[in-house]
Amino acid sequence: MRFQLKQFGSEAVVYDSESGDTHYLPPLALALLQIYREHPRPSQDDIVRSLTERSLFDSGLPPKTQVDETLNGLRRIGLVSPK
Amino acid sequence: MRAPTDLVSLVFRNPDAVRRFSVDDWDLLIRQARQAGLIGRMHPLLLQKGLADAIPSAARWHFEAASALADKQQIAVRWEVGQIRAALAGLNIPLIVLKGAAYVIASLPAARGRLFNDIDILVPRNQPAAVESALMLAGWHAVGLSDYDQRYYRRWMHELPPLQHVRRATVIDVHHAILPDTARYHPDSAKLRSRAVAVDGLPGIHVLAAEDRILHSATHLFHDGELPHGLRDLTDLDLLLRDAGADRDFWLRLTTRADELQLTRSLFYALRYLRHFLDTPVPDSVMATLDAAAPNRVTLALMDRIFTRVLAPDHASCADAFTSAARLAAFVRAHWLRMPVHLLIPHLFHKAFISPYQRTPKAA
Amino acid sequence: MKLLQLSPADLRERLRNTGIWLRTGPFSLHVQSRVESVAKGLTDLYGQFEVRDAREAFADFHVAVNPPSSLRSWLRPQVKFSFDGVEPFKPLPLDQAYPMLEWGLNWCISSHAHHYLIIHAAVVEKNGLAAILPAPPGSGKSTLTAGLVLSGWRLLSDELTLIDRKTGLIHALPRPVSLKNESIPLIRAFSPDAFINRASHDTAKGTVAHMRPPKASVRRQHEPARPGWVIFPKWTAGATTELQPRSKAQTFMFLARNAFNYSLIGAEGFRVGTALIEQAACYDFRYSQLDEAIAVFDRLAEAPALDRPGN
Repeated sequence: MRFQLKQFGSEAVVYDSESGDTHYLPPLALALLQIYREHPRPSQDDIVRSLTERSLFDSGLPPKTQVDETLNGLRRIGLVSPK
Repeated sequence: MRAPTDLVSLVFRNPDAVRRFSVDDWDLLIRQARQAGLIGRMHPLLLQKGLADAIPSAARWHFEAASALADKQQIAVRWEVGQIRAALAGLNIPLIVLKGAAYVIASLPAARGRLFNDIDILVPRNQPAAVESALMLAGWHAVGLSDYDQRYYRRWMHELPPLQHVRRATVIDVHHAILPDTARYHPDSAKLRSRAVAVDGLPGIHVLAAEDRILHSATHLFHDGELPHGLRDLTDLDLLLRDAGADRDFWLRLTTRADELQLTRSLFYALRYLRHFLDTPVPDSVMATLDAAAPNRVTLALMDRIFTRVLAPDHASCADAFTSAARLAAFVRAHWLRMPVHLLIPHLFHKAFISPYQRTPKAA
Repeated sequence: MKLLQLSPADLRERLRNTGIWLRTGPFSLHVQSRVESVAKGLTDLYGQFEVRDAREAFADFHVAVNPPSSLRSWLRPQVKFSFDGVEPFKPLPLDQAYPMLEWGLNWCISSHAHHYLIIHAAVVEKNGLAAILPAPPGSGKSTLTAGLVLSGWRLLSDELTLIDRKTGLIHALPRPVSLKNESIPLIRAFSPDAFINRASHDTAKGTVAHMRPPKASVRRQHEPARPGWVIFPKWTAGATTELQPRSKAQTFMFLARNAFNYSLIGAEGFRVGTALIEQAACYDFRYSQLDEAIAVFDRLAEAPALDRPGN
């Protein structure tokens, strides 16, 4: 298994056994990853609703942008497969 | 030649000897093996021969720590080769991986228990700038070399200097030929390329054919003057030969190929010292065939005196009064082989007085 | 046999010639040196450690501290550290010979002992649980460490936290505690009985001295400890003494970046590091008074169950 994930509360750390890299996942990223692991193709609206319910968005950028940026990060690391 | 006196090659020749080791012997063995970069390779050998219980408990962690390092490095090398492939994919050029990294990606026994410094790749000579920019874009830069050394690589050796990755600190050596252009011998790179073998799971990546891998390793051993890992490189060759030698037709292919590439002299030396240090099984008929490539008796005696010292572990306990002279002689000879005289003298002058040859110290 | 059973003259003689064999925690050392301050440092600070005849034992690390054989030597006396013939550092002024031995030993261990995950942190123990104190220079970590071990805490290590990869336990290496700059007079005042050797000046870290490890810590050096807390100390003038819970995930990332060999041991580093963090309560700790700080630590050690948050 390429990725090893260890959750601590609402955050997590991940080890990529191919590259040797270690990553930190803040609450939003972890929650988004969990959504993708449970549903192969979640809808934008479902994602935003679920994350809003859990108060994971901060007051900065609009929720959709926060989702996109976080998702890009997860894709770049290799945790979520490319579109 | 006198039998080797170091404990490391003794253990490789005859692993059971460790059963008779005193605590003192183990102490010295580990220190010599550490200098030679061979603790990690010795560990699986001892385990394989059922000698794990012979290792004193005080010494055990040295072997385990070295094995842990070696195991991680294998993974890192595989990853790095993948990154290099991705960086050069757009150029559509044949990419051949050489030396240690090749053993890893081709899953050869010679990858076992080994530590890796750089990754060596062979690319066609017609696009050096394109290759360098593609690698630079992906994060590898020519760093840490004086201007003089950079010129040495680019102008005199017609090679790119070593490229280091900004984030991962891994180093790539990009070669256009298996020996520098200025060397006295010119094995034909096109011939090597024509027989290169594809690697499973890494499309676009090749390694040299079995005979060529061995000849390349042998040539470097006897053309490189600085041999910090001489014994380690010999053990690489030993593992490569034992693996390939299982095929009955291999030896004939090897000597034929050596002839074709004009590398019989290097092969002669390699097999000679392999038998001396490691008892590598080489058929007598092969040694007989290579006799024609042997130097005259006087030169051979001199080479023996040099290489029995230079290939031993670089540890005080393995040195005698002549060892530093031998290392210097090997250094000079290698540079003589790699550069014509009119370039050699200024280069050595510079090296001796401006870039002293010493282990790199770091600030405390 | 303990080192203090050798007369200083005998120790000096052996050190100059065949060298001495010394055990410190899990590591055996062979030390050779012709430098007077090194002999004195060992005599003053390593009395409780085991010595043996140098010729009859296996030693993990063969080290030597000697003047280099160059012309420069008599102009400005220098000293070099050598690990089995390799010199990892540039020479230093002779005045720094003893600290150079300590730094050199730390380098040997952190570069080779990969059967441990090695974190750059001090670590102390009380009531069976270890408190790991990672901290950048200037955070007051050495003062706090010295204060704690002079107040009933066991010294496990002042620089290198050794986590056994197989068991997850922390192994003790109770070598002398290094003190820097203001720590030196502070600890002398805090505990006049504590033995601190002669300071070396103008080092890369300022003025440096070493404190003899408490006897009880050395006596128990072969007893590993379970991880209890990871606490990031920060001394700030006038600050209220307080513990603040810290993100475990972020603490793990810090340790991974500050461990000596996290990336060298691959997935093992991740496995051992996350297991450690899972067991340990993680805090930031601000303080300005040493005795208040010690009191907080003592309270932690008395009620560990209450202070270990669940995931």
